[in-house]
Amino acid sequence: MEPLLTAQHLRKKFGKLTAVDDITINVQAGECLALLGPNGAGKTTTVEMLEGLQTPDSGEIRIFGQSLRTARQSIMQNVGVMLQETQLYKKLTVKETLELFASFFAKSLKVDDAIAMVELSDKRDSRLEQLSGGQMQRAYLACSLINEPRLLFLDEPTTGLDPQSRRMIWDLLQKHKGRDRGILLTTHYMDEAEKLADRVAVVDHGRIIAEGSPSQLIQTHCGEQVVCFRYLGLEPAAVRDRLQAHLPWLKEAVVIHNSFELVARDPVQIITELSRASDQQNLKLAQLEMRRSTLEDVFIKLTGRSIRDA
Amino acid sequence: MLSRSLWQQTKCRWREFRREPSAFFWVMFMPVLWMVVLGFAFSKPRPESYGVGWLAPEAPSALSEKTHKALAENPQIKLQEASLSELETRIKRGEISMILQFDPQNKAIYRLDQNNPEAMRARNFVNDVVQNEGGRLDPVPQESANIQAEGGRYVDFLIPGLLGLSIMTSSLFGVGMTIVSNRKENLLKRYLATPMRAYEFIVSHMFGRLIILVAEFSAVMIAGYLIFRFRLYGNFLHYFLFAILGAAAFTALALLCASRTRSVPMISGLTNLISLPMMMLSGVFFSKNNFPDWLREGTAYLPLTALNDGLRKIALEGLPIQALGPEVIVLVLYTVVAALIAQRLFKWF
Repeated sequence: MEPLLTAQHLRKKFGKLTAVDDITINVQAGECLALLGPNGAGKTTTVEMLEGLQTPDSGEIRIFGQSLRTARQSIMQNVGVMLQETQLYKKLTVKETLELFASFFAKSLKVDDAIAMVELSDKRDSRLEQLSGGQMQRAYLACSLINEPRLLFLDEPTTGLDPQSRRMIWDLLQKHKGRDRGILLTTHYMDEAEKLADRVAVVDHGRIIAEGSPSQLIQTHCGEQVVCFRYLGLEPAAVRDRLQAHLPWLKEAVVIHNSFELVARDPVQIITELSRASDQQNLKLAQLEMRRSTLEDVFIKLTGRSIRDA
Repeated sequence: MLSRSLWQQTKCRWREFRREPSAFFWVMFMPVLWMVVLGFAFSKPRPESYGVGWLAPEAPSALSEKTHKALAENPQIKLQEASLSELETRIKRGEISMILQFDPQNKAIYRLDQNNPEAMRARNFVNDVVQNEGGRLDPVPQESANIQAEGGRYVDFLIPGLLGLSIMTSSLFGVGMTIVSNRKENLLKRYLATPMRAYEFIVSHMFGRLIILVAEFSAVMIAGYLIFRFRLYGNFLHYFLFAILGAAAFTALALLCASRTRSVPMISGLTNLISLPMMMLSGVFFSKNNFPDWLREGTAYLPLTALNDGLRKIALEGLPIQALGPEVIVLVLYTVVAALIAQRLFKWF
């Protein structure tokens, strides 16, 4: 079956800055693809090119089998969009806002049904200025779902929301997913990508540096476990000096907030060696723990830095 | 013709306006407030009164005594007696505009700034009194009769000017601010990511203006009639059509100002930059007849001048719209040129 969206060799420069440098992606029906990467990686520029808001310097975009350049108007009838940081008219009620958005499309859901879908029925006649941040974002989501889009673009849909509101948006998106529908999501939240995405493309400096399902990525790049440890009263650099000779794998550990993190295929072996070396050098471990690898670790492994620091 | 989307967007424009209390107040009540304050302040033109300094003559005579009494009793003269230096200070303060003294030969000496029109009027008025007391007899008998020209009151002049002012400010600020803040908040971009047709967005702003114009037009007309019995001598429809033309010109200018701006303080400054000079130079509150010729001719091409002049010609002189050649041409040119440039420059985000 033909993918809902294919984009090949997209490039976009702003002056001297190369925002997107040869990105190729596709979204299949029934799948959610997440572009995961730090701020400034080129995610938003990529999505805006796919939405037809930015013109790529080069590359080809096809949605529903049609070229975006020539058939944008008809393609947009079946596309839903959630941009970053959009403020709807605060003086309109939820119902009025959705009536406005519904009017843009040839076919749309009933406004009341869309409101019920995002669980805002009791706020139907409230002005947007009276809603909380999470409710506002749900109203915005309803605007993006009003035409029952076959392809939904979400650019950082839960940035700035409290955990409960984020969970609610995630649940709504889970419900929206379906056999013939596709979602393209950008996020810098690992948990969001892991929760929603069937496939993740890790983006850094305008390129895709890894792609696969979350578990595939973790398997391929990290193994299952991460060992984290920290020493009492000793800077990481000093620790490296003292222990490097005894623990050859230490050079692969990265330092996050003064604590070493090491992706370990055989964590038990690592921990044994670590405590033996610490005893010999008379160093006192302040913390030693083992946790499951996440996409964050994949990102660290691939770029050498944390996604939040990038 | 009126698509569902255009209808929804036009409704949205009206709601934005109606639910923004400051915008609503500004548009609906400010012109009425101006009308009431200025209309009442200037509605009963009292005869001009003159501050006159009386410098006591060195040798008082029967004539100087008689004249002093006549001046002191004249209701249009505020006579002040003091020393020369004190009187000169009062001239500087603007309390009096001239000084009169009789010399020993009974010659009336006037001291005044002859470049000051008010001082010259005072001198002439006082001189008439002096000459009459001296026994002047006018060779030609004369009599003045009072006529009240239709639509000749100050408030009749003021009301069309206030309508013009209101159309200018509400169009410039209303359209400009809305578009700029929508752009800043990514809403224009969000619209662009739908099948919405771009022209519908612009047309909805024009329709929105039209609705608001009806509101402000009615407010000014109804208040003008109820408070001052203001009525049109020209055709109502022509008056309204010309107001629409004015709103179109200022809406186009607002679209031009807002075509790329992303910051609200920037658009607000830009709008003030355009509207303030016109507020002062386009004869909103007072006739431009006292301007020097070059200024009057230069400001004739400002859109607010054209709008005000045209509204007054219809309202006060009863001219039909087709008799307003230059005013119509100026407004149409502003509308078309500004709209074309705005269309070229306009950025959605």
